[in-house]
Formats: sequence, C-alpha cells, structure tokens
Amino acid sequence: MAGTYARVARVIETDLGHELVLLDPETQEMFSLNETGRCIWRTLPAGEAPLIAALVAAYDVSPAAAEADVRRLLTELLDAGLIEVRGDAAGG
Amino acid sequence: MPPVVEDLAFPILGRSFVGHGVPEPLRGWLLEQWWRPEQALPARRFAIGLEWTAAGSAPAPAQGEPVRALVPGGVLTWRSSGGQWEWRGGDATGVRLTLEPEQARIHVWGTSTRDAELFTALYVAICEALRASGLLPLHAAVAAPPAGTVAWPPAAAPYIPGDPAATAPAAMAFLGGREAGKSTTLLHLARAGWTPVAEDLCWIDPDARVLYGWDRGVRLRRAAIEAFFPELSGAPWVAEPDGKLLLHYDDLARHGQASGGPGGGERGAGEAARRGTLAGVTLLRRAAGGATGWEPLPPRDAVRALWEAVGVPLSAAARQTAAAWIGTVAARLPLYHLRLGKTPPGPPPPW
Repeated sequence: MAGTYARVARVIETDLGHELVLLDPETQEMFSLNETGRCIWRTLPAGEAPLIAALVAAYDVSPAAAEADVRRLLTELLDAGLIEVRGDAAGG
Repeated sequence: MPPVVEDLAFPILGRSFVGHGVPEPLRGWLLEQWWRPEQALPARRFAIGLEWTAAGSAPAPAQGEPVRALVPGGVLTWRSSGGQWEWRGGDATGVRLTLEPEQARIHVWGTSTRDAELFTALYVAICEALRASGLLPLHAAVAAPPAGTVAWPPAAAPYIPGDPAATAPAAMAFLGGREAGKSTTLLHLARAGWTPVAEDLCWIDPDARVLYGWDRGVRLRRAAIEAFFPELSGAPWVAEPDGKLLLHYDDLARHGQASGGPGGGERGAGEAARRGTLAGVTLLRRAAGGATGWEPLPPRDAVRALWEAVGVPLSAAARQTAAAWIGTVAARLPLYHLRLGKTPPGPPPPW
C-alpha cells in the first residue's frame, strides 16, 4: 500500500489513556484503538515505512510483525473511513 | 400579527442572553426552553445575542463545508465557514450562528408562526453558543443518593474548598436513549430517598463537574405510572403534547418522594435549584426479565454512551472540549451498567 495516510479531519478522538476511541460524526460509528493502534494513529500522517519504524521503536516487535500490524490496521481504518490516502508514496 | 417584544433579556447559567425583535411565539419558546431563574450563577463574560428578522430579509447564502447535526427525528445540515454556521429551511427561513471570543451572535429569519424545524435549528444554535461559553449539555437522568448510602471513590467526589462542586452533592448520571428507562429509574430511586437533579437534560460545567438540572419534572406514560407508581396516580400530572404526563418536581415532593433541591443551590421563582456533582455514570439497558442488577461498564462503552448523551457539537473547538471531558469521565469515574429487570434498583455496589 503506497501513499501518505492521513486522519480524516472530521474524526473525533477520545483518549482513555491506554486506549483511543475514534468517532466519525457523519456515521456515528466508533472505533477503538489499543496501545499499538494508538501509536500508529499518533504517527499519522505518514507512509507505511515510517509507521512500521514507529512501531518497532516503541514496542519490542520485529519489523515483519510490525509491518503486518500496520497493514492490517490501515486496511481497517480505510474501510471505516477514518483515514484517507494522499499522494503517491510521498510519505515514504 | 403577534406583538413584537423588542428586547428579551435574561441570564442562562451566568451567560447573558438578549433577543431583539423577537415575536411572541418565539418569545414564549425561548422562556420555556432557556429561562431558569432558579439556576442563577455569577455573571460570566459571555454574551449571546439573538436577532429575529422577517422572512424576506434572508442574507446571501453562506458558503462552506456541510456539517450535520443530529436532532430528534432527523438531521439538520449546516454550512460552516470559519466561525460561522448557517442552516436554511428553504428560501424563507434560516439561522446563522457566529461565534466570536466571549460572544455568540444568532440571526434568525422567518415567519412569525411556529416552525418546528426552525425552532430546532435555533435550539442547536443556542446549544452551540453555550458550548462555546464552556458548558456541555448532557441528556441524562441524574440523581443524588442519600448521604452515606453510596461509597464513591475519592477521585469521584473530590472536595476542593471554594470549588462550586463542594456545594452540590455527589450524583449519578443515568444514560440511555429514548424509552431506555431513565424516568422510571429516577422515580424508583426517588422512592428510595435519592434526590432528582434531572430527568432527561442537564447542563454541565466540565471543569467543576457540576450538573445543573434543566427540566422541570418527571415525564411518564400513564401505563407506567399505574404499573410502577400507583401511589402517584392521584398526583397532579399534566398532559404533554406527546402523550406523556409531566409531574413537576415540587408536586413529586408533596407526594412523599425525595425531590427537594440537593442543597446549597440558589433559589428563584419558588423552585429549588437542582444541582449535583457528577460522581458516576450508569448506562441503562432494559432486560426482558429477571432482577435488576448493577454490572461494570467498560470505558469504551461509556465513551459511546457519553457521546450519545452529549451530542456532537458543530464546532471543532467544542468537539475537542467534549472529547477531553468524556475521556476524563470514562477514565476516572465509576462506570456501571444497570440491567433493568422486574425489580426496582438498589444502590450501586462499591466501585
């Protein structure tokens, strides 16, 4: 997946400390992120490589595991309409 | 043609409100919805100005991004640009809200007859103005238990000398949508000695966590009164347009239910100020049968329920304020799920 991933501006974050709850006011859908998901969300806007690097730096995970986590979460966030892709691999 | 009242002025929780050129149907509605002399607060430096003009005086349509506001029975789509929001109900009616530091200006144009959608848009605009002044609405039933009957954790009921929360007793907010059981739960608890603060709507000062009850009584259907509260069947219930019956808090008190003011509040117009300090949150869920019981509520579920109770503001700044408050409440206060079965609720278990 290439491009820079960015939060959709209208999405509202509610921070519970260990967990981040995202609300899309258009759909009233909510999406809960655990600590690693929160780390990825906080790193946005970014391309896939910086997101993987952020996860590896913050947690004791292998690059391969981090890549799988990042790709899975990005897919879920895109499907939920909470993030969008901008440009073409601009964010690395 | 209805008479025009040139200036209508009263405070709303310490914020000044002034209406210019307000025709009578709207004047009555404004007083009914927003005038609560018993909830007097020290004056705050925030002014809400409302100007009503005739239907033919609509300004040029505002451009901007669409922002949807969920309202009972539908959605109102506003156009947002900078600090301005505009809703139009066709060519003849509309509401324009302009938020500035320490003031909100609301321009309403339309006919002088009662227009439900226009009044709803105006309600949204006034709510947004109050949000900009630092308050949050909370759709919840709220009640304060008798002293010593609920073991609140220290973080839920802090005592800070000089803090307004010190004068309002610890209270539980009961959340749930329409027909979730808020009114019935409130009356069950009043029967057990709890003091009602609100039945469906209150305003909250998010910093102090003080809740100001905004409704004037408890509303129930006659079938519920006869099934659960037969001792109140002879009380002076008043029929409401939606078929429910309203019992004013003072009349509730006269019929033996605990409903005096929670104490410490100011009084006006002979009515007690209903205030509480938010110390816990409970989400109501009806159950088909079995006993009523308390269970822990996961914080993420509380976040969803609190957003539904607070509503999503129009402005980004108010959204951030609401998100911060909801995050703090869900992370720090006791959270319960009250499963409403066939028995009345007892006090919540220790957190």
